[in-house]
Amino acid sequence: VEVVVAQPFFGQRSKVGVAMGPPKVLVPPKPRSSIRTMTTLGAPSGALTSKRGGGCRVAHVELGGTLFLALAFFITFMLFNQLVNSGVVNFPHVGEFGFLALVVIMSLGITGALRGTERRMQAILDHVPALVYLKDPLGRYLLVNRSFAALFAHGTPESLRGKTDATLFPAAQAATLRANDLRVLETGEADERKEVVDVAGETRVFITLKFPLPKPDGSPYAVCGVSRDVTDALRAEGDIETLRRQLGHADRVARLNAISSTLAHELRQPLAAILNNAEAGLRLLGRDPPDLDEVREILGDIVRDDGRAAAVIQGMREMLSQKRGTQQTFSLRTVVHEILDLLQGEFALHRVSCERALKCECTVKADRVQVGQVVLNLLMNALEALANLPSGHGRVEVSVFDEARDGAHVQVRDNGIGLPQGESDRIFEPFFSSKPQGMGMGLTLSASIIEAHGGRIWAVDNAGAGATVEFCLPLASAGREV
Amino acid sequence: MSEDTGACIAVVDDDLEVRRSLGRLLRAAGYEVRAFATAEEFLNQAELRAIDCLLLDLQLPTMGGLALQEALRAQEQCPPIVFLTGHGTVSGAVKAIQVGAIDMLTKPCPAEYLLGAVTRALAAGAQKRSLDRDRQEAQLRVARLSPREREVLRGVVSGLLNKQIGAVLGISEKTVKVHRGQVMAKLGVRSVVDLVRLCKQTGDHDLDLPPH
Repeated sequence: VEVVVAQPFFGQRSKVGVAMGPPKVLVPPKPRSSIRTMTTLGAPSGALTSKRGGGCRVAHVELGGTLFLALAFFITFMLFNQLVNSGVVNFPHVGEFGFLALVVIMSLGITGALRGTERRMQAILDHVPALVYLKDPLGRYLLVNRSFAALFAHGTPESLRGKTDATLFPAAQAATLRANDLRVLETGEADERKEVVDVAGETRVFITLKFPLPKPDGSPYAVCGVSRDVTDALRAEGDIETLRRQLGHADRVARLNAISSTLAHELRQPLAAILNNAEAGLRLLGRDPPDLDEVREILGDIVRDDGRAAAVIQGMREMLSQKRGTQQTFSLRTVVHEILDLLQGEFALHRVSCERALKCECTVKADRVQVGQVVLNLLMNALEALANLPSGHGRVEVSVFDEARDGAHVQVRDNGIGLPQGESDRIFEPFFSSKPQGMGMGLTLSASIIEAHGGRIWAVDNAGAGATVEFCLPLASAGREV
Repeated sequence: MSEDTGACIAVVDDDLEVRRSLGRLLRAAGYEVRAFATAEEFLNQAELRAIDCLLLDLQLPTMGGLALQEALRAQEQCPPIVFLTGHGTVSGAVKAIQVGAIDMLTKPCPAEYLLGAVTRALAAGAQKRSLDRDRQEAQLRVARLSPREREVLRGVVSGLLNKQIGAVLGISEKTVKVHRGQVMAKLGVRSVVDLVRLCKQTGDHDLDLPPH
């Protein structure tokens, strides 16, 4: 009979549930996976609207109870009257007086009870650290708590009554809010979602739970909303994200310090070679006749060593750069296709077969060029790992797929020499290389690019021959929209 | 410039480009060059006797430059070593110099310093060789002495008078004089000072001790 609202709610509501007083019937909340803490807000809707709503919706709950009480009193009175009339109890006028007294007491009691309930309710609502409001099916506010009123300058719960979202918020936002209300009214089901509104010139984000308040026949007469302001929390998360980025940078700087002597060594080798070559060249030119062939060879070596030094510096710069590059939304599949097409000649030259299993578009938001570099790097590594296989036996499989857990995956699998034995965990370290002429920067840079985009990269030896290197990046659609 | 000295320099460096460029420079300066990529390769293949100077990279894979120096020091024919390093670590440099390296050069090193160090190394090598030669000669000469003459020599070198030597050895002063004359003649020296110097050259510290 009674209207019972039992809704799951987010956080710190147990106090409310206790102070609420006994709701008529308490239906346990349905489990909702998205909400961690669930308590129950029992809202005896009739009490809420007894005065506010007016008209037909007024307090049928309390009146129903009261009528039942009146009937009980009336029967008691009739019995009592009978007793008086039959002379069992002899007390003149007691019946009439008693009846009147009872009616007065009952009226006072009903009114007091209603007032008390309502005051209690308002007090609770006013102290709930969330916005609580009730809107009729036309979108007019029937009731708001003080937190809601406080959003607006000079706003009081009374002054906002009867207003609509269209008068309180910018048009586009109001339309969205209205659409959310209507959805709840139509489906008759509770609904939780993010709502973004401009309040006092500032955009704020709310997590809003809306649920319908039904009449006894089941049709809703109002939408109740409970909104929690998560703007600051989101901002704090953003701060944490920034902090994490800075920490990542600090970590890279620390790593740099650790490897700085190695870097110096990496640079000094080509510089030493250049200097030695140049001085040798000068001496050779001073001879009569000068050995021009050797000088030519020397100059070629100098050019190559200079390139080698430049590559070390460039690699360092890229690794230390905190710049996240230009973020754009693109299909990983397309990028992998492009890089594979680019390398077609290489594959053909080394007679390595390449299989593409590009299952999905895998749209990601990242620096397209950098991600392309990573893909290129992994493929080049695979090709080099195949160098010692007999011609025609090399095989590379490239897959693109997505996983619900961690987004878009790119996997490069080869049947080459596999990871360096016993040192597979070092392959992402700077200057670690299993190749005689390798600089040990490729996978380090790849890892730093992937990690900067919130992804992961790892490598494993295959059960058979070769190794698999794989990275994942968050999908562009996941958790990005508000 | 030490054009065409013909000295043989060994280069040990794991970096191909560095190795090749060093070889070019040294050849252009007139040296003969043998290049090796690792310490092991050097130990296995180099003909130590023919090498006048070793240019050694401090950071080598598996067996490092210092370890090679240690291994060579144990052998008779250890060429003078000039270290090259890409790091310039102080601790390694101190250690290397303490145990006899000629110099520790930081890459990239101007040819002037590099060739200067090589020249010094070659000079040190030559000096060591001449010392070795002198010692061998002195030892040969001392070896020609009879046991008695050798004891008399010890007495003379440690500053004893003929009389004292005779007393220690239980022979007459006159006999000591005869032996002494024999010693001077066999060793080809004319004064006690020369005698002492020659004994020093042999490196045999027994000769400094008085006979008993």
